[in-house]
Amino acid sequence: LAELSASIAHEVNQPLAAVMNYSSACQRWLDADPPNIERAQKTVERIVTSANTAAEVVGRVRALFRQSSATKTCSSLTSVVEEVRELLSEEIVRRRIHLEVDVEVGVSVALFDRIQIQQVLINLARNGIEAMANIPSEGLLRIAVRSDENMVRVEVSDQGPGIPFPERIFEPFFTTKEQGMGMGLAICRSIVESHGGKLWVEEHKPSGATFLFTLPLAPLIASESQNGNGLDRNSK
Amino acid sequence: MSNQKPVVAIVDDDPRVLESLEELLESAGYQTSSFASADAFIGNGLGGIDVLITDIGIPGVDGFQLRKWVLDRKPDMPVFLITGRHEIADRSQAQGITGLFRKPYEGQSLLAAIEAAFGK
Repeated sequence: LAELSASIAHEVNQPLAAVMNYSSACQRWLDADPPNIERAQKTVERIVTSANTAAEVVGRVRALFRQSSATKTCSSLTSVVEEVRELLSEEIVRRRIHLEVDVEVGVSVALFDRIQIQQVLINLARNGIEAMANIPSEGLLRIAVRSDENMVRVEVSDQGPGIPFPERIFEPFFTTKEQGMGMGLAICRSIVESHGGKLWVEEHKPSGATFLFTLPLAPLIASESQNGNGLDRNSK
Repeated sequence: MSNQKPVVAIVDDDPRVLESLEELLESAGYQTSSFASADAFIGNGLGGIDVLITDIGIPGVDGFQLRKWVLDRKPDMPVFLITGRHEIADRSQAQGITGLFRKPYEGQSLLAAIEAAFGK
C-alpha cells in the first residue's frame, strides 16, 4: 500500500506541478508592463487542462477502489459485445484490424453492471489493437464468449508481441505504453473481481496475448436446456 | 554580461511538466532548452547552457547522476533537482543537496533560486 500511495501521489503531483508552474507564469504575464494578456490567457487554459488531469487521476483511483455498485441490471453479454464492436468500429478500420466476434448462443450471465463490463471489454480490446500497431500483416482481434462449468469465459486475443510481464501488468501505474497511466488493467481486474470473476492473461499461440475474464452464470437458466425444464443448473 | 537571455536546460520525461516549466521560465525572461532524458541532454552537450533543472526520476541516467556529470565538467553551473516522488527527496543521497524542489513547488521560489544563483 505504501508503494501504491507513493505512485498515486506522484501521479497527482505531476499535473499539480504543472498547475503551479503555469500559475506563476500567468501571474508574471499579467504583471508585465504592458501585461501580456495573450500569453496569460493561454496559460490559464493550460492550468485548466492540468487541473483536469489531476482530477482524472483521482477519479481513476476512485474507480479502482470502488466497491461493487448497485447497478447490476444487465444479463446479456451479446448486447455488450455488440456495443463494443460498434464503439471500436472506426478505430478498427483506421488501424486495419480484423475483428472476429464469436459469442456462444444462449449463455445467460448473472446480472452485471453493463457500463463497467463494457469498460473492461473496450480496455482489453484497445490494448489488443495497440499491441498490433507494429505487426506487418493485418492484425486479427478475436472476442469470444463461452460458458465453462458455472462461469462464462470472455476471451480477447491479439497477435501482438505478447506480454513480457504477465503479472506486473495488473499492478496500478505499471505501464508498458509510452503515454499510458497504468490504470487500465488494474481497474479491469478490480471490476471483474467485484462481479465475482477473475481476469488474467495467457500466451496466445503462435504469437500475441489472450486476456480472459470470467463472470458467474445466471443462477436460473431461463433459456431452453437439454433437460427441457430450464432449471437444471444452479437453481437457487 | 551580454544582453542575451540566460539559457535554462530542463530535463523531465513528463511532457506536461516540461511544457509548464518552459512557460514559467519564459515568463521570467529565460530561454529554454528541453530534453526528455538525461541521455538526450548529455548528447547535446553543455555548450550554451547556463542552468540545468532536472527531474530525478527519469529513465536511464537519473537526476542525481546527471547532476554529478554536469558538476564534474562545469563545477559552477547551477543545477536544480525536482521530483514528484517525495520518498526520493527523503533518501540519504538527496541530503545536503541544495536546490532540490519537491513537486508541486511554488514557481516563484524556483525562479528566485535561479536568480540567486546568477547573482552569486
